[in-house]
Amino acid sequence: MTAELRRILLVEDNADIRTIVKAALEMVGGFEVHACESGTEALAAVTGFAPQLILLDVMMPDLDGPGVLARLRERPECAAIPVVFLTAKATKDEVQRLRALGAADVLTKPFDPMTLHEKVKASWEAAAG
Amino acid sequence: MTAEAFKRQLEALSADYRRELPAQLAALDALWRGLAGGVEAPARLADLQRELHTLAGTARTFGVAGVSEAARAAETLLAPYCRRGKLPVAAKRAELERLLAALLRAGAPAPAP
Repeated sequence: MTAELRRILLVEDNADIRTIVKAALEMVGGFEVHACESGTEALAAVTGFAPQLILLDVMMPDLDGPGVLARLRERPECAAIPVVFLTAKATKDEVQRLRALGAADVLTKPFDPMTLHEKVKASWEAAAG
Repeated sequence: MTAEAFKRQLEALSADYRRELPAQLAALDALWRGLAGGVEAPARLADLQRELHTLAGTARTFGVAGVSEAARAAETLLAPYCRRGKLPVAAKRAELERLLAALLRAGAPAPAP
């Protein structure tokens, strides 16, 4: 794992949230963000973009966040990329379930767009150990 | 790119969101009216649940906290019924109606000065 977080793959089906997360992470956090609107699109983009962290919505039509995570873990080149879930259902049980699936962290929606980059960076640093 | 530039973009995005919100809430209300007045349809109940979930996770980020709170409460109320594919019982329907009314009020455009 490199020392500094630069590239983030964002997977979020809601266009409003996708726009604001991408803008917040790029403009405030200074990250390079590739945004995908579906799990299928993310699985196609991940090898070419080579993200250092994947920010993944949980509830998406067709292929949901846990489904994306499972497929990433089957691919050796993606297996070690930390995945942080972004969820509007952050109950204790749900957070435990997502962590048991292999999530590096779970962030909650709604969020403060001005401080989101700090939370993502903290998740990255925790995953990097 | 700076935090100040992002704040300006956030204000513009929030204004767009609030402008589109009444139509979104009206569609959600119509979805509920259709369910409440017609044949039970589990798929449409799931649609309503998903719309509420999205609003709960989105609206506060765009500065409409009241919509997030009412949507979260309605989503929570509806969840067990959605899992069973059944409409809420009468007492819970009344509660859901109150929450949806609160949702519509919270998302209504501010009166002109």
